[in-house]
Amino acid sequence: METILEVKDLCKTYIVNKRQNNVLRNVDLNVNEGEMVAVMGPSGSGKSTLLYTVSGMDRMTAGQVKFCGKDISGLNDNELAKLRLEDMGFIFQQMYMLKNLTVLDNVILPACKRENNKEPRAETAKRGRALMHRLGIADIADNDINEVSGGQLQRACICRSMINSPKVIFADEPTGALNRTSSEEVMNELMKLNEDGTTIMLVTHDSKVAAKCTRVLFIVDGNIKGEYNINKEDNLRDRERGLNNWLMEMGW
Amino acid sequence: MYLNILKKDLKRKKTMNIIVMLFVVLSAMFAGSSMNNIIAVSTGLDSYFEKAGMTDYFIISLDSMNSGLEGTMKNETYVTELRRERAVFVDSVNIRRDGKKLADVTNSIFIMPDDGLKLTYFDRSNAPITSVEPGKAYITGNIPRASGIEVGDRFTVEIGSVKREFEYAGYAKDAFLGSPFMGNSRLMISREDYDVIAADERAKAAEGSVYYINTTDIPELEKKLAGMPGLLFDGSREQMKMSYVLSMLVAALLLIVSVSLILVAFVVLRFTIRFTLEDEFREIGVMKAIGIKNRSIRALYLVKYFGIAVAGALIGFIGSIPFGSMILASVSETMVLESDNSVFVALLCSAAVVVIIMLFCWGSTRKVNKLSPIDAVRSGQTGERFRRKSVMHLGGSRLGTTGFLALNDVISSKKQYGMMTVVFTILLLLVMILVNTANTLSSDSLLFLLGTTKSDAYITLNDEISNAMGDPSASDANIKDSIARLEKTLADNGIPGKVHVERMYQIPMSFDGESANVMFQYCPQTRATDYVYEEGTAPVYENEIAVTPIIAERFGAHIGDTVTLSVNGEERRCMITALFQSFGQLGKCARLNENFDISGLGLSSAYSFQIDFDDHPGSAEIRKRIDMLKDIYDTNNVFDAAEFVNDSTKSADIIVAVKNMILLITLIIVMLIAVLMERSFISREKAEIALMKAVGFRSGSVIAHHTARFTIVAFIASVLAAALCIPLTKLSIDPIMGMMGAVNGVGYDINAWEIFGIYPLVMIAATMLAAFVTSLYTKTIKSSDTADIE
Repeated sequence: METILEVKDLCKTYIVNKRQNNVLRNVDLNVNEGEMVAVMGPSGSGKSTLLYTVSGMDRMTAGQVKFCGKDISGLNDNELAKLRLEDMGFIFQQMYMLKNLTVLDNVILPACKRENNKEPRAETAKRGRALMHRLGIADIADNDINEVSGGQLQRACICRSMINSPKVIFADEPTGALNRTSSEEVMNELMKLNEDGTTIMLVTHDSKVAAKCTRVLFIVDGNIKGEYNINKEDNLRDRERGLNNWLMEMGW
Repeated sequence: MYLNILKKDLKRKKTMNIIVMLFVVLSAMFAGSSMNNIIAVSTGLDSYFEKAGMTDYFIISLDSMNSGLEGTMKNETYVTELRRERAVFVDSVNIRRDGKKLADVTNSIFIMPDDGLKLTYFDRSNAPITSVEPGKAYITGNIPRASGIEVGDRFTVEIGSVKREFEYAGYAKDAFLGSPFMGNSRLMISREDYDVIAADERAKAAEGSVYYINTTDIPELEKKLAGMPGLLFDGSREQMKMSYVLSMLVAALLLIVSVSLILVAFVVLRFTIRFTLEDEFREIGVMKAIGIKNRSIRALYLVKYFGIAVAGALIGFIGSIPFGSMILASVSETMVLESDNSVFVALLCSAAVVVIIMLFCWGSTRKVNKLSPIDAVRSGQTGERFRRKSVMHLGGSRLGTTGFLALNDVISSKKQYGMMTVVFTILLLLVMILVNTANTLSSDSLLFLLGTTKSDAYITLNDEISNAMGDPSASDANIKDSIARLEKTLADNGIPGKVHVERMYQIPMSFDGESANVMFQYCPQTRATDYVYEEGTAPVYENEIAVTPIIAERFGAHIGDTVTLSVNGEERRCMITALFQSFGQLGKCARLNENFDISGLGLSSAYSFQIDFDDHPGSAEIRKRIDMLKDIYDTNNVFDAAEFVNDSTKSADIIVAVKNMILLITLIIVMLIAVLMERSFISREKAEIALMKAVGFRSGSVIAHHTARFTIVAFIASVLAAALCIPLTKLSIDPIMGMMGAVNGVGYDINAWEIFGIYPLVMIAATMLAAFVTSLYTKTIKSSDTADIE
């Protein structure tokens, strides 16, 4: 399997009130194609910052991030935007969507925005509907975003992240604002996506969510303290048990 | 605790609080200045006449021909007050600069001593002029405008053997003769200088008087004056008011502008307050959740907005006084237009703005009572109250993503963008109405009101007219000679044409026991049927006349009545066949048939010589020939039809100045609104902007999206304004044109390129620029901000 994300000596420092806050300290990390990596750690450990920095949403202070072999640390804002649009998908804890658009329009927005997109708009909409159908939310396609539930909205966000067939999806606590049932539905969809070959890197506090991934990174004080490979052959309960034991060892 | 919450709020929501305050400043400024202007304009003319000491009736006479007028008037019981100003009447040829005429004006110029002034004259800053230093001169009327003279410039008065140099002390406002229509200039000089000039024999012969008369019986006074020799002009206060009708047109436009500005201010203010308060629902929810009472929550916001309102209104109050003066200054060149209590009115308006803001806040915060903590936490919305927002569908649209998002935002948020559209439309309409009015006043649409026919060119030759006026018995022959000379000059220069001139003859007229001097228009080279009549039919026989409604009313005569004209002692009976509107003699005139025998009648005045070229050239060729005539006769007073109207009404330039000022104000307001609204949109849409960037929108796309929304608003406003401007111009300006004599309205001269091109484009460009520059702020919002936004 090829390495899709290669991170070396990644540092991120914020200056707040003239105080230096080192959020990420010399992080080294590789994510391979087809992996589903969970990043766990206590609040303030730098999980989300890691996700945003490796995805090019935030600038790193030092280090190197290679995406598909290409160093993204030297890219300008427009190049990073193009990269995010064409090769990456994003899912956030809050189901951010543009409030003046229907759910379907929000889903297909990145596809319509793609440069050199020759696909007819109607075809894009058809693809969007098909994606929504796949995630079981076809019936809300023409609804406004304030007419649907949080779980449906998060699945719509997954559809949006998938519309440009990205190489990797970054998800920041995708189930954080959902109830247990919705949370499971969303995770099942992400697992299906991963099984279909999409690489996923997600941040979570929930070991049940992390247990559905292939690998778990545990981050403390801006450093990856350890990583845990999940045996895909195990059933979900065994995976969860194994992960929880490891997390306890890590001091969770 | 309240104080702490307030302090935190002011600090944390600095941008939105500043935006609200800026709108309060604008509202207070517009309200204060506009209200002052409305008071000044609506009471304008009466108040100016009072300040100047204008009387019920006015007479100008030549002393050599009527030395006993003062004694006669004093003996009349209906004359309650008589004031007399003595003056030396000179022509423009007597006032020179660098060897040339200071200004080529047609009317007589009155030279007067400062201690003999019987009216109050005002300088540019509206201060009364009480004395003039020796060697200096104030000038009223059209000369300062026509000559472009600046304070401190030097010129000479040359009469007979006297040549005296003066320094121009400044423009003086003259209530009686200073209106653009009357246009006679007066030179106000010191007694010392006057005595030197008046000592010359030729000056003595040209001495005359201006009488200011208060009377209880104007018709009786007019009867007394009918046929009296030496009268150059007589007229009532009402007629003098008419001479300011074009100034009042400007004032009326200012009134429309002021009302619109107040409207704009309050629409924007109400919207901004509602907009900002809706943003506070989350905090309101938190406060409700922890048990703070509704009353206390409302009080908190009311206190905050009261503070903002008071601070903003105070700044607005300070700004309203110079702003109001600035607007008035550009339109009150010939009048003293100012509110006597401007500070008090501005203060009152600022207080009213505070009260209105508090009422808006009270109304907007009422929603707090109805909200549960959960409702409030959901930003004031519950599932039950969800309303559909999206109207368009990206999937079915052919627009680019940025264009679609912008258009969809505008259509989906009707209130926000609708308010802006209304405001932009009002502002653009103001400019367009002024443009249409200015274009109409400087086009040939109003030619009929000047009592002339349309010709290719109009040339004012004062010397020819003066020559014709010299000898009453030869005036007709002299005019014919002048016409022949002009036609020969045209032919000699290869541009042959026919020439005619509208002449004015003062003839005593009587009907049903009433009698008065009436100024008759007459032109033997045209037919009476060539002119426009409001009622009846043209006077086609020599014993038929047409009169203005003012004359008809003055004599109590109607169409079909027969009046008596006294021509050289002979009584001629003529029938009134038509009524017509005219600016001429302030509407106090009549028209003779072209076959009327005028022999022996002294010419009172004449309009410009009108030229109709034989080969009927196009406008470009006419322009060339006009320039040629200017060179031949060494004068600037050669016009085409539109320029002739402009020169005669003398108001188009003022309206153009007002229009330019309103355009500037409009652009400033449009840009301010665009900046403030865009800034508040960015503040509200921070999450969406971050999301767009996160999914791969470039900063440029976000900026384009935000700029495009305002561009769409400006475009819609432009379309609406363009569609409404013609009917609204008619609706708002027709009554004013009616006051000026065009009771049946006029055909407006609409310059399509200006109305549908230039001005909409200027407003769209200004809006785009303001929105673009402000939207650059979105660059500071990063895609990673999605993590920080609640």
